[in-house]
Amino acid sequence: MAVNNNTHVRIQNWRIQMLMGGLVIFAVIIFGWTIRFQFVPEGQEIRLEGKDYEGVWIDFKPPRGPIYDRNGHLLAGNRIVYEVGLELQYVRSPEAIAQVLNAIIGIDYAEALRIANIPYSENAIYAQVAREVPAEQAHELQQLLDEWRQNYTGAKGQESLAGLVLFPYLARTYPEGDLASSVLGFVAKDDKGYHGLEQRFDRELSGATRRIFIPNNPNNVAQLPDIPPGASMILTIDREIQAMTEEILDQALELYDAESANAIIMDPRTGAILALATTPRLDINEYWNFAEVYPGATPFNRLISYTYEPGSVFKIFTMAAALDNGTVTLETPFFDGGYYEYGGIVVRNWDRAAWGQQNMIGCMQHSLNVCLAWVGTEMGAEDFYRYMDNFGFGHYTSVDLAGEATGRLKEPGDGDWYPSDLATNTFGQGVSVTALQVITAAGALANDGVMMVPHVIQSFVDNGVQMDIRPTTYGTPITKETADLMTYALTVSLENEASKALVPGYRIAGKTGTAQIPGGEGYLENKTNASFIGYGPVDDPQFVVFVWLEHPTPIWGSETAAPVFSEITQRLVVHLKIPPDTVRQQLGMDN
Amino acid sequence: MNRAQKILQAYQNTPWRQQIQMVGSVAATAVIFTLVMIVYVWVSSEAGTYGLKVQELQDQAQQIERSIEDKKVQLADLTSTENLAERAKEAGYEAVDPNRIRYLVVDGYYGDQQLQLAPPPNAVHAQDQEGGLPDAFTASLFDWIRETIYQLSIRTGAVGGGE
Repeated sequence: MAVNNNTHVRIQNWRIQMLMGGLVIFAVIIFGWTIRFQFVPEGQEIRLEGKDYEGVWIDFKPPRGPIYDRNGHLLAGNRIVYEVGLELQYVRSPEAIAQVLNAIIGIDYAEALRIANIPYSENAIYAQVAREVPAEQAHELQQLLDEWRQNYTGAKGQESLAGLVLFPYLARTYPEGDLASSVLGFVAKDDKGYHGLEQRFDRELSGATRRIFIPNNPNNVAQLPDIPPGASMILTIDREIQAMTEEILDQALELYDAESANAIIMDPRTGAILALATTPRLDINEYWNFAEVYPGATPFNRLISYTYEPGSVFKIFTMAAALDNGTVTLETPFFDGGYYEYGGIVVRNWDRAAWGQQNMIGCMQHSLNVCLAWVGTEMGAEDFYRYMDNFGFGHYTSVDLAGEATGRLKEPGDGDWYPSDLATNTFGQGVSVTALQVITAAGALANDGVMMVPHVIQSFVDNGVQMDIRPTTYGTPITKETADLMTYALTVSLENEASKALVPGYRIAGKTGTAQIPGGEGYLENKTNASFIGYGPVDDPQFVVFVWLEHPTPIWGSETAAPVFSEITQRLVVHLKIPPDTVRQQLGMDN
Repeated sequence: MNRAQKILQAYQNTPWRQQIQMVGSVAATAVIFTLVMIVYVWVSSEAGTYGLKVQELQDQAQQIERSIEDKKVQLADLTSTENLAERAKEAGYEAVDPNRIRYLVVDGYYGDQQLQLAPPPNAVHAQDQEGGLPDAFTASLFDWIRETIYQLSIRTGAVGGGE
């Protein structure tokens, strides 16, 4: 009996030992298997696959920095729009989805159906249907989805909108439409800035995108870091002045049947641009119309990117240079015989007439090519080009906008420069400039000989800190005395000819320009660039205005650009709260 | 060994008593294990719930941020030059005639000043930026017990620096 009991116990022990041994071997195999996966290539794949289920990496893009005008009016901000998409594994009724998308968002039915019919697979999980869907449409769609969810029972034959999803996000918008569009530029669907400030400061405005891992396990929840928004900008542009200028230019474009009408208003004391207006211009909320507004190679911002021969407005720089280096004084006599030979060419006046005995004021007043060519050649090429160089022609003005051109100022030593160029350059032919270069250089005449770097940005606000941009001096091409003489000459010549540029109540200095346009052979017939540069009040210049009309009818700057200048300036002085000269004298506000 | 000791030994070695001891030990272990598991599951579920809440709040914060941006634009739309001009026209205003403007010198008025945008307010939890969420959201049960004991010991003066 005892033997039987012992045998029974041994058998039991053996079974237990076998079971335990089996379990241990099983455990060792599993352990070994896991160890093996640490080293074989499949193990790496499995680990990576496992990571996919741990959470998702999401790009957190901060809101793009807003842009304000000098008084805090929003010019560029961000609005909520929606992305509409399909989670393909849930799509049950492609036709119903396509119909809804067509009816509410206006997507082509066939295209929507094609997307909704994309079969779900490992490589096709989500399909984007539309982006930048306005909030109104998105809300309508969301309402429909909510109603469908309430009523959907899953019964056979019932249409399903399952899989249709909306995601809100911020997109760039411009509350003022086309106002100052050539300054702002725009942000396209790819979230990149194009033209103007949006391009030039794309990185600063958009801020730093951060890629953050969001774990699926709520136990591992992590705090989202505070992502600073893109930098904000405060511009020197004054919304009211900009709108007023654009309104006048729009009227001028029609009135003079011009190809384009453009103007810049600048504070000569700081280089701050108060308005920079072009017509036609783009409503940057609908940037996709770009090619319609700017066909072919038309630049987005003519005032900084388009170079042209300036014509007679250039004479003010020639005369300023000659006065400054002592070649002439305002009283220097000149007999205009109607032509002037130099470098193998004959220079004639704009009206091909001879104006007889003149002094330098008369030369400027009648805009005599012959006189200015003589002045320039008397000064000599070296001095003339040195002064023009100092005025910034042929160089960037360093304006804080994208797309600036330099123009071309041929100089002695260049392969394509001839002595005759000196004679023609003096009255603005054979030299190409941008409108911004002209107003920047003219700023020296209005600001005691000191040229300021033009700029449209007044301040940046980044990470809660406002950084104001200090006005920067470009150079001092002429002395204060020369600037004063030129101001006197330009004021008197305007008043003597009873120019249409005159502004009632204010003394203004200025000069017209009617520049021929070079074509294939010589200059084009009946096509000009008409312009006017002026500043005031002359005893304390607070603004410089440059108006430029492309191909106007009539062709003369004195008939087209000058009255536009006057109209702009009459309203500008009200905006800037500059009283008329007599009132300022009475109030003791004059200098 | 006297009789009493023999009876006691016999009692201690009775099979039913050994079985009760064994069952008791197993049951006690199971109860303790179950309690620990219950606490662990409770803490985990709480942590998970609050984790989800944090995610919801983060989503809400983003929605609010988007809403603020959108509202700024709506306000700018309402006060755009075009809208204001229309409203002014409807209200009977007309452009000023420069000849009717009277200029006055106002002492202490220096004209339009340079715009200063108020710096954005600092985030409420700015001090947590480096450390992440507060401990309550991330600490394990054992961290919590250790911290609680530590805090209690500080209060009772058991640890901590003295004078």
